[in-house]
Amino acid sequence: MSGFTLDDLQDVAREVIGDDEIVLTRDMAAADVPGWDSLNHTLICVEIGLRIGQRVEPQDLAALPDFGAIVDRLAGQTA
Amino acid sequence: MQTGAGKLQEAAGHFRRSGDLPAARDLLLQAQAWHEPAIVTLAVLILNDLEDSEALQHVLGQAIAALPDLAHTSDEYLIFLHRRTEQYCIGEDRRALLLQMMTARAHEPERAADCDLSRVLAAGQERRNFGAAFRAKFRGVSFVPLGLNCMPWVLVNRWGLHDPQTYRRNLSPFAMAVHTIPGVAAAMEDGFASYAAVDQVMTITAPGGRPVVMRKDRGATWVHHDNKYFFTDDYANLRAAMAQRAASLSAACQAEHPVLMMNFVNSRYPDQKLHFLPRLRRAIAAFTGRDDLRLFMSNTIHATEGEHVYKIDDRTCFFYCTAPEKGFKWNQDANLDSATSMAFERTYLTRIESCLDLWRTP
Repeated sequence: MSGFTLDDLQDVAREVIGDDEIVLTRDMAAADVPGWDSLNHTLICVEIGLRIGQRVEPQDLAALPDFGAIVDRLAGQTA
Repeated sequence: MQTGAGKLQEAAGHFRRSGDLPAARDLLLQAQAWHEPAIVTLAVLILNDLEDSEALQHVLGQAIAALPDLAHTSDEYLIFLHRRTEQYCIGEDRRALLLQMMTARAHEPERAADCDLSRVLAAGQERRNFGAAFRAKFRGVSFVPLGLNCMPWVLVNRWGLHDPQTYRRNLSPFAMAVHTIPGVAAAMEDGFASYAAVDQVMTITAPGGRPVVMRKDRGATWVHHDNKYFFTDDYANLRAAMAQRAASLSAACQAEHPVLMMNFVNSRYPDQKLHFLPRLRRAIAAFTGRDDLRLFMSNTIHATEGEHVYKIDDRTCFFYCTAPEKGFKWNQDANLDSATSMAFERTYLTRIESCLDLWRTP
């Protein structure tokens, strides 16, 4: 996979949290998404890792301020 | 100066922190200090870590028997015991003394009518009544968890649908963990041979530093197996525990009227097809040797404007039971016994009842 977009992140979140009504924007963060708790954050990172073929550390992404920063980080990793 | 109970607590706590859960368990079981609430609480934690159901049921029975000898018991401790007796399906006879003490305490003159004890007692009474009526209506039916999270297993136990023996027998690998549907199917397809194989498992650190053991393909996440005990020796103790649970699953499926249950199936049936079902059915048959097992699946995420319960065929049902809000934490003490949680849980249980009724209907 080359690049990682907000749509990709949204797709992963929908699958892991089990809610296809989740809509993410760049300025949102985990706290804005019902069900995005510590466990689901971890599972989301593992699922991203499976999709991009690289290990993604949950603690690294948890330190980022919003989904925009997360997507930028992952896009940089997969460029 | 530290008391005997304090020293015991410290020693068992040390064993637990260092990952020697069997040593912690053995120490507490030998000491039999069931008149010490702190020891009982710690023992329940350790035995829960180990999924040692028989010892859990024994300890809770002993803790209840010791209650009259205690100079003082806090409301919190009584509520703790009450919740655990439901969680681990302690028989009504062994619970009687606890309920009697809670009732007497709740009726003390200075108590408000809506105190925590009264609320917990009322909720517990409703669950016991429901369980008794359910068991009388559906004799011999027991429930076998297929995941995808802990909720179905916890609810059928909490609402009194299982006796102590059934609880122990039906504790499958899918009961207290998070799974994906392909993960469940794959585990049964190869008889759990590669389910927790060392090359399939990893530990990842969650935000906050908690280690989480899971399959690398995300097929299984053992959220309750977070003690060091399960990580050491290339996850040998995790594999041993899961082998035991797999044997339980096999035994449970040979019972008279087992019903498989799977939650977190968030398809919008019937608008969306359940494409995974044929593979899942084949996997169940391969593992159990039975193609007649009934299965219900539930979606607690989405609301529906259509029917709540669907009979897919004479062995399979799908139902909706929407949680009170997105991200609702049904398993948190703050929600437990609340009117909101009770309404949600009651609805879930009545939907299970509807599935059984639909299967009985030609």
